Amino acid sequence: MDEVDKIIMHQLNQVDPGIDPTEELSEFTPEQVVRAVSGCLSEIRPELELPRSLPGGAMAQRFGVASSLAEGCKECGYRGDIGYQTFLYPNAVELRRLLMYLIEQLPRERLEKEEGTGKQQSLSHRELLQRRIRKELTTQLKTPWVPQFARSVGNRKSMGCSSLCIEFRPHVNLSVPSADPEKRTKEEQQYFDQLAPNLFQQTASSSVDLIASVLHKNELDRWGRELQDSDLLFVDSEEPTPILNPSKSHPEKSSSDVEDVDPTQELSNQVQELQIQCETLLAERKSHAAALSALKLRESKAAEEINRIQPLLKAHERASLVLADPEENIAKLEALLKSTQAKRQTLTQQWQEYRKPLLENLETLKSAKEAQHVQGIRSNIEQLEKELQEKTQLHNELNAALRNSSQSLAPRKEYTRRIHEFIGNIRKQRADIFKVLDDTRQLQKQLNVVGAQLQRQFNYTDDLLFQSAKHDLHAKRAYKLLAQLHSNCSELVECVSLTGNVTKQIRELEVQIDAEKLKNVLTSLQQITGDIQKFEQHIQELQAQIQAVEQANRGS
Amino acid sequence: MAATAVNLPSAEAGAEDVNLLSATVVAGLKNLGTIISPALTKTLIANSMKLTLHPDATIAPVPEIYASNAACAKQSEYGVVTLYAVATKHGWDGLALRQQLENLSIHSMAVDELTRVFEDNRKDLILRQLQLGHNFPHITDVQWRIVSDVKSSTSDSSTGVANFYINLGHFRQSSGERITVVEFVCNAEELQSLINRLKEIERHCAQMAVA
Repeated sequence: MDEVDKIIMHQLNQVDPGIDPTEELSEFTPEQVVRAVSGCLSEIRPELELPRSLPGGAMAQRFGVASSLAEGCKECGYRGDIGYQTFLYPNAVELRRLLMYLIEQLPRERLEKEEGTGKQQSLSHRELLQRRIRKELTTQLKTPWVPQFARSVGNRKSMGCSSLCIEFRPHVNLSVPSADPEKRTKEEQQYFDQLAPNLFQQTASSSVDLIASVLHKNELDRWGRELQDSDLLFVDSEEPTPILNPSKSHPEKSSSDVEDVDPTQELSNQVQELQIQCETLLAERKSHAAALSALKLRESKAAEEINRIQPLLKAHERASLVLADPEENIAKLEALLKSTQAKRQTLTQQWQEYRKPLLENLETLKSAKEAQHVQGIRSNIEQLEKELQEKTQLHNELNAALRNSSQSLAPRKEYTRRIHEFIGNIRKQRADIFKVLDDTRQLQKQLNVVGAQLQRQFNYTDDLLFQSAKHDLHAKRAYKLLAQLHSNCSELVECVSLTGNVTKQIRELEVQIDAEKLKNVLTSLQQITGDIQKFEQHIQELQAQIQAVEQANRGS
Repeated sequence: MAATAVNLPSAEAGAEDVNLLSATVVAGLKNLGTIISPALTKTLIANSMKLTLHPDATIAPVPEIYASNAACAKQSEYGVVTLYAVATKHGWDGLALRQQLENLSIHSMAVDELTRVFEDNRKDLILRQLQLGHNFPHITDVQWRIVSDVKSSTSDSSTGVANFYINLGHFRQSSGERITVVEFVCNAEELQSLINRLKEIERHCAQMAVA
């Protein structure tokens, strides 16, 4: 049992490093028990709100804490006998069973998670988003269905975007006092002071939304100055802008009313005239446009031609100039040719002079660069050698560590070996038990056979003696003795079976006594009596207080 | 959401943060604590927040806000609501909001109050603004009946074929009126296939949640 306790201690220490390890579970104080169990429970079910420690003072509080922990264990699926007494008056056997169950239930990925915390930071946004979606889906799958109208109330509200979608419909014409009060006219100021509805009244209609409206107006104010009115396109407006044309046409209408002619006739005539005018104008415009484009085409062609002819013209001009006085011009040209050649020679010479040092410089630089390169490679090789040495050293160290760790792994091998041994023992015992059971069955069979034989023998003897007893006096006596013998024997058999039963009961009781002895009832009983006494004392104190209060009341 | 497709002119791109609020909004915010008294400022901010968060609820009017200098009060209301809307849209926290306001040289008491109220209601504001937008209709209600023809233009007697007439819709949040999103008729086989598709979605979701 020591080893089981050690394993439990090790696990508990991993769950909560604050638990002081003791040698055996029987030495656990109630405080430690509460701490260990609540630590395990909070690992298994993080959503449970559990007390982490046992309060020192009042018995009632201790009782409450212990009961809530017992409830938590039951919720985790622990089937054993558990109650407040497990925590307040712990005994080693029950505690061991409970802690073993809880440690088995500990989430497996806890260790992996601790190892993976370093990696988690480097997760990409995409993975984080996927993880969040997964989490959200898990919670959504777990939540019960709620009718649409109930979704805006209660904790369902915290789930974010449900089906309550509000259309983004801004009020396109919010009237809010502009930034600069000096620009407002007196009438405007008066209007804003008295009559103008405030922002919320303007957006109270169900067809527009407050936030959409203010965002819209804000953007419009920021950018509206720079955009032409024609660029802004309002699709949705509650009150369509009034058409201005009717008011303009109104005076004409009234004037036509004064003249006593049929106004519709006149108007239709006018319309027809205008239409005809319009058509003729359009036709004219078309013909003009065609002429214009033809002229443009001609213009571009002419410009092209001019461009083509101009260089030709220049060449011809020069040629004619040269041809005017051929001999003199030829001499001039030859002189020019010679001077150009001389100039060229001097230039090539200069170039060679300039080039030589540069070429030499290039050579030296190239060689220097190569040397540098070689140097770099050498230093690189040295560095690599150094690294190699370091790595070999590390390798050696790690080998040594590996050897050490394999040595420290020995207890584990030992444990597995022992477990194998236990299993072998258990198998052997099982085989023995089966053998004993077989023997018992065999014996039972033999007993039955012998019993049946005896019964038959007795019946036969009984018949025989009964027949002869009618005639013979001795036989009569023998018959009586036989009957007596039979009854005595059956009594004996009964006695033997009863004795067997009693021995069985005695063994069971002994086992029970052993179990009870393990629970060290005596100390628990002492603790319980102590607690009861405390309670009584507390009750007496309370009664005394009540009496004092009553007396005080009576006195007043 | 709003018309933000306009390109920023390069001259103003540097001062982008400040320019998130229009001149009217800034003027409205500057009124707080100066033209409008501190006590009234608090009432005005609280009232604006309440009306922003609960547009459908009936909230008692506060006439004292408009008792003196109503134009400024109206401008400030607009300023506060716009400030919160813009802050929520750009995901500012309390600190960022305070920084922006201090850059605009708003009265310090107003800055404190605006920041405090914003921090208290930030989550609600985000939820409120999340609901806003253009979206496909959510389907929250299904109505159905079984239909069969009695007589048609091509046949005098019933064919006896039963079809399912299905109507998917949702309820308008403000009025409770039911709106039909789609109506269709299908036979048992098609219905079965539809149901299987929907179940597939559910299964897939469950798998994703587990993986």
